[in-house]
Amino acid sequence: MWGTDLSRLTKKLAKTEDSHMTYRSAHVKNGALTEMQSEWFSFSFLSREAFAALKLAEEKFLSLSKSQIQLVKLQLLHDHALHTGNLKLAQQLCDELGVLASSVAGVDIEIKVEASLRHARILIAANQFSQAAAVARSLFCMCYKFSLQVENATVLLLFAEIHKRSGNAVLGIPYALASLSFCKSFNLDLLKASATLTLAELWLSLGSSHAKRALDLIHGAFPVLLGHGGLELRARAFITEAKCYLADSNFSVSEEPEMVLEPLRQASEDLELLEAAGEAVSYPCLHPCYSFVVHAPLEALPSEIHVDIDLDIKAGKA
Amino acid sequence: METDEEQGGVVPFQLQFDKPIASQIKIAEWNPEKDLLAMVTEDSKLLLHRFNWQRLWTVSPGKNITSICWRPDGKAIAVGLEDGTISLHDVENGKLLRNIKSHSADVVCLHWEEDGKKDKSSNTTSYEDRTSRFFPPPPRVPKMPGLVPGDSGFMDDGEDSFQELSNSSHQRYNILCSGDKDGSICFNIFGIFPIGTVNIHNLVVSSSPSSSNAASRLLNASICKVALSKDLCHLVVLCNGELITDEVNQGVGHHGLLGFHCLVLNTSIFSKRKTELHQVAQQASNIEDLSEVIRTSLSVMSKIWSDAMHTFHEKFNAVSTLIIDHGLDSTPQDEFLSLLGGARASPPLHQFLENSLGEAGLKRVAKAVNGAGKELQLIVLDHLQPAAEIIGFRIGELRGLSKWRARYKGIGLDEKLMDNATERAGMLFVQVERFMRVLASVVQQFSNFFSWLLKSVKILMAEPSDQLPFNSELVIIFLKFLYDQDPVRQLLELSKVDRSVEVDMETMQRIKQLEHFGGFSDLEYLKRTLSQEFQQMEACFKDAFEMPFSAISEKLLCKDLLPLFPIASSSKLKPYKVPASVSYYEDISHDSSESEIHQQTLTGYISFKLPDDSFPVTNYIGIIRGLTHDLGKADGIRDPIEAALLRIPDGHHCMDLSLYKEGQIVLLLNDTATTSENSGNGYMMILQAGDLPFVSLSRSTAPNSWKLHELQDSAIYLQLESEKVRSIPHSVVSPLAVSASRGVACVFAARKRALVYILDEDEDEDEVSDTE
Repeated sequence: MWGTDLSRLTKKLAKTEDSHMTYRSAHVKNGALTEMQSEWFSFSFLSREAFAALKLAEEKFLSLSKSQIQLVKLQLLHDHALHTGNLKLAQQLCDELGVLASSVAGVDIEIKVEASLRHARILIAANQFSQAAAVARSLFCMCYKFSLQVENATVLLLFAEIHKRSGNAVLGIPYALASLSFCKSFNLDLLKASATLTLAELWLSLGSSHAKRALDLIHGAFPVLLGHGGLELRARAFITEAKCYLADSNFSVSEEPEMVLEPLRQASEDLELLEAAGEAVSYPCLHPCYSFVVHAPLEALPSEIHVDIDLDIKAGKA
Repeated sequence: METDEEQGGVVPFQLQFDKPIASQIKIAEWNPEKDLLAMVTEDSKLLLHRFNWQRLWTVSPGKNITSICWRPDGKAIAVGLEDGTISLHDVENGKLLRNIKSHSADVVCLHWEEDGKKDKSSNTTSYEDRTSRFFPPPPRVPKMPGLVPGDSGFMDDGEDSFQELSNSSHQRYNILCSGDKDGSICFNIFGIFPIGTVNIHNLVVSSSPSSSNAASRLLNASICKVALSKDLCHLVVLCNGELITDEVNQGVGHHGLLGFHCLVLNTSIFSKRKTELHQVAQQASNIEDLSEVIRTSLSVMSKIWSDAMHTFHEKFNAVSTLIIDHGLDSTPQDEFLSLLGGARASPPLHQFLENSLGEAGLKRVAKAVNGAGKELQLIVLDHLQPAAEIIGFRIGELRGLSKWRARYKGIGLDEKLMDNATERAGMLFVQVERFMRVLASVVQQFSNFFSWLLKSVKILMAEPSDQLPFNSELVIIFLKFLYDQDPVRQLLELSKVDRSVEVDMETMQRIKQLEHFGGFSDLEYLKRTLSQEFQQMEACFKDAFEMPFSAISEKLLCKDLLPLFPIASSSKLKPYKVPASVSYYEDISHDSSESEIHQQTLTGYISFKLPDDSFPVTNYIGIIRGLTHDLGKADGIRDPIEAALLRIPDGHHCMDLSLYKEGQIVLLLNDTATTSENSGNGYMMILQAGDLPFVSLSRSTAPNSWKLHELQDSAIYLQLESEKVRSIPHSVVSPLAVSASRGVACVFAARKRALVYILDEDEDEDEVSDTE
């Protein structure tokens, strides 16, 4: 009973990527139609809270340069566009973000890095891995040149992500490890946890014989991931945990269904919240660099999938 | 083996020394790590002696000490008192580290066990306490002002060790369990963090798996001994009380078995949820430490400030009396204001400034107030603020853990309560910031007022007064808002009346806006005072930590019960002391090669002296093993419980006994024929309990009966000649203190002497020097 439900569920999980793509392309077409209004439209997508907070901030910090708030607004919009798979809009927002930076070399480095990072993410989402890698490489050079250590770790993680998504886990592992050691030396705990998660995913994709190792890695990073990570990161961690259990040949779903269902349930909760809140609440306030990581990968499930998860869980219970 | 030698006249156990002692000892325990002996005298003084009998320190808690127990690392000792308190003392100087009040009756037994197993899968379980990476060492409790200097000098010595000892971050996972006279058992991780409690009266034992309708309970029970196994999986409880069986089918029921019983509790949750409990306890115990720092800081600050304000008001109250004396109808503030306005000082003010206050008096008051302000600021900066900060971080870590439901929900870490507690910790931090600001402005205004006043006094005295700058606006504000009000005290003191702090509209508006940015959802928090906020935070923490406590308590179930021996009903009322000892040995013989599982099983040995009035024949010692065996195995299949009865030869009787290492028992015997006061020899002997012919006890028939009665026929007669015996030239009394880890024993003689023996046979070569 449980077993069949879950195998269906896992199949669905495995298929996530395909359905994600179709969903996304449909959305892009839609977006082309309403491109004129898209920006205005997407504001209504943003959660009310985030919008209210932004408005308050605008009133409060009139004296501050307008571009700061504009930056945050664009970041939010970009995240949202990326989550909903509206890549065209995302690219447009990303370009706008890049324009905010001064054209003089060596000035406004943070904005430039941010824009490049986001650009790379769009490319990953569009499955254009070689382009993404090229962007990441130039980004790495820039970070190295201006010795932006934190960003360096982030870019290394980005490389790992690119390799993971392109199905080349063996190449990805050294990058994830390099990112990990960077994080360790700079006390970047959340980034480190996130790198650990990526590393676990990489191990897992090497085959089920590494499931145990991946699980150990994830569990080691769980306290930080869950305590300080954003909604998406948390959901990703839970999903990977469930995948690890399912990949483990010693694990039998029918005996311990809760081991898999509980993380999946929590993941779907988080993702639903993410969709509702438009990511506004998940910004950890520690350091701006964390926001890059939190919104890093693109495994957010389209809504239909996690509704299915929920339904399956309910059906199993009944 | 050794017998040949003994017959050849070789005396086992080298005598280290034989020293007189000042008073009779009632409890004695060897330190597990060092050669130190802690003893409790009849008048409840705790003494610590070195192996060379040099006394290190004496502590008298003022209450009756009922039990002692060392922390497994030997760095602290737990002392159980008659009022239910357990206090922890530092081994170095006997300083009191902490009091825990978890019982309401005499703490009659303590047992502190450390997790013995090394972590094999260390990569999963390793959990880093990140606090030390992000924060400087935690603040200490500030000193109360007015301490005697000599006293504080002593405190300084102990300060560092105090830090180290109370800090649980470096400790291995350990659990202190304590049993009281009324039958409740408490468990504390690190001896500090309460993690569970169970009352043996509430335990229901279904006596045998086959007859599920019979359940037994204990009535009027009191605990004699608790012992947690090394793998923390089960707890053996020796208690006396009445065992009754509630038969569902109204059968023979309600026949009580009055006597000694042995209970086995399943505490495997401590082992299964080890990492989780360790983490939670680590954070929570540190949070409690820091709360203590804040609590003391608040009271110290309150005291310093109210002293200073007292000095101020004492002097300045004279103004209003003088005004009344002069028959004027005004307030001191008015008088000061008109003086500030350039008018001549009115007669009462003049008199006050020139005569009752004077320049020296004014300077004294100014110094007192300013000094207090500075001290308060220092306390906030060195103690209050860092403590609040670290509390915030640590509770945040716990909040993160609580989100891992699969692991932490089971041990009762509640997400909602943790969220709430985190928010409270944040509020406290904001309150501390506000307090700091209020304090700074108050101190500044006071000093401004005083310098203005000093200038006025100088003008009155016609002295040069050019070097005294002041701000007249601030003086006006001071007179208006501070002269007869005290905002600092208001924030510090816990008023019984719900006096809320005034918060202006603009701030309230800002708080509301901040909520949109993820600020605190409780908008009223600035209306509370600092102390109120602290109180609420503590209440929240208590709620949050109560959950794991009750969740764990529910999971402590009784696994087995074995009635040991009856006691005469007349002796029921007085506390019954029976020499008994419980120990666990790694079992080599039992689970031999054919089992592939590498886990070595622990066999619990329970040995006790049967009281003379309980048995038809006197002078028996009972040894039971195997009670705790079947925990790892599937239900239904239980290993037999095995028991052996040992008969002490006539002419001797057993004073005390203790299990030693590798299944050995140390017995302390006395000659019964002590006719005159001088004669009477004692004996100490070791015998291998594992080699005794154990007989298995049947479980099925008659679940609740004295099983040991069945064994009378198979009792073994102890042959003094064939064992390792050493004669002691005194009549001995209990307690017998044996240390398995150090291989030493301390015996107390009836005539106030202490004798220390080395039990290990490795040092046998020195025996020639042994003159006794």
